[in-house]
Amino acid sequence: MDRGKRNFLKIAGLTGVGAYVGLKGVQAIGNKGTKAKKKLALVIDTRKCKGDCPDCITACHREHNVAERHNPNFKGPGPKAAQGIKWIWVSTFAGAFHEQIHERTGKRKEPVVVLCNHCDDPPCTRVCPTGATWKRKEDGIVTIDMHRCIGCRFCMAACPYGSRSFNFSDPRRSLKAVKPGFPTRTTGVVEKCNFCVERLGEGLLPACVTACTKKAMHFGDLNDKNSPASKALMGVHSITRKPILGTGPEVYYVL
Amino acid sequence: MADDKDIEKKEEEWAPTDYKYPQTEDARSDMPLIVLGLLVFVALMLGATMANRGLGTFRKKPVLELPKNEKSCVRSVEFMRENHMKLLNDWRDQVVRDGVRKEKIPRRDAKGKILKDAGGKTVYQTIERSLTKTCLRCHDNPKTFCDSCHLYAGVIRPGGNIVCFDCHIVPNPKAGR
Repeated sequence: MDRGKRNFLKIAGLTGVGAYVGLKGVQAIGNKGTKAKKKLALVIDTRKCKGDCPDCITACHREHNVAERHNPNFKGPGPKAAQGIKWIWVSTFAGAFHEQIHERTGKRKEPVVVLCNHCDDPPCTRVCPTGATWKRKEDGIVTIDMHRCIGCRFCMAACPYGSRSFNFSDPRRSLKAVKPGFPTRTTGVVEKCNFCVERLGEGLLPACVTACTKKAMHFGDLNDKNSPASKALMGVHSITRKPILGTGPEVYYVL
Repeated sequence: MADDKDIEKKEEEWAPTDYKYPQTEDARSDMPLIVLGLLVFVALMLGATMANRGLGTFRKKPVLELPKNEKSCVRSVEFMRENHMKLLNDWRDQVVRDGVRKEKIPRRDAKGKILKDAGGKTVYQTIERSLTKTCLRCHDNPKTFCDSCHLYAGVIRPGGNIVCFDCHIVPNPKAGR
């Protein structure tokens, strides 16, 4: 009887250890499979950026031929603001971080620059019925294949940050000047910030980062400890937008 | 019963027994009408077919405006003639999906023959897989190049455009896109 109890305890203990090691192993393999090589992120220093200059927005929208629907000269049909196209824009602090404010932060006057968060677990890519939008495995950029987009706007409904815009009419009609290097969009597709994937391919930094005269934007790979983004996050307090949703935003705001 | 009699009476009214069916001689008298109808039908169908496709055979053969400065393309002329659309789709997928923007291709002479250096090795060059930056650099006016064949082959309607240039920008201002 005594030996039986001892054996039982031994086997139970070994089973427990075996199960723990096995689970850890499976977890490790799983993580290795899904982990992106790079984790590109943008760090916006709100101590320097007060959201009062249009440099990054102008640079981005000129770089990517983003139609300015808010332009009063736009002669297209429909309400101008509702058809607005934006890749990067300013929001009130309370609007951007509505669940993280309290009495004092809520009264913060300075707006913040917001853009697509290139989430770790993006809800927009999950709902796309045609596979036109996906998260790139190599660097984590959430990108759109305009050839494949059918304009169903599921992704716009899924995005909790309002980062995506729809082309209700031909964007070329409201473009003052086009930059030949980058395509415009056509009627019926969704567009958003692409983290300047075409500039990164040429070894350049995103247009907004380059254009920022206050040096408030830091771009880089968070898996690399020496990248500008990692350095900018070191030893400071930073927040992301709507962290409670579990999307894992890759745009950080230093407070 | 009175109701049954009424019904019988009505049936008689509906189908009188002395009804004469039309004779074959009467049917033959409809022949001109039938022939006329057939002629109208054939004319309409032929007209539609001619307007849509048949006219292509009477249309002038397409004249392509070839680039003046460049004599060789990224592939041989025969390949491009048959497969340019496949090549463009491949380039699109490789650039957009895989992020591979550059391509190493052998240099060709004006006849499309692959060039070799003195040692007999193929000479390579690196190009960018880009409609705007590579294709349109030489074929700078889609109206006189792309559209010529596409009109002839019925890919686009007269006055229409291929959808590529709805988004991709033609740098040449003379192209009028």
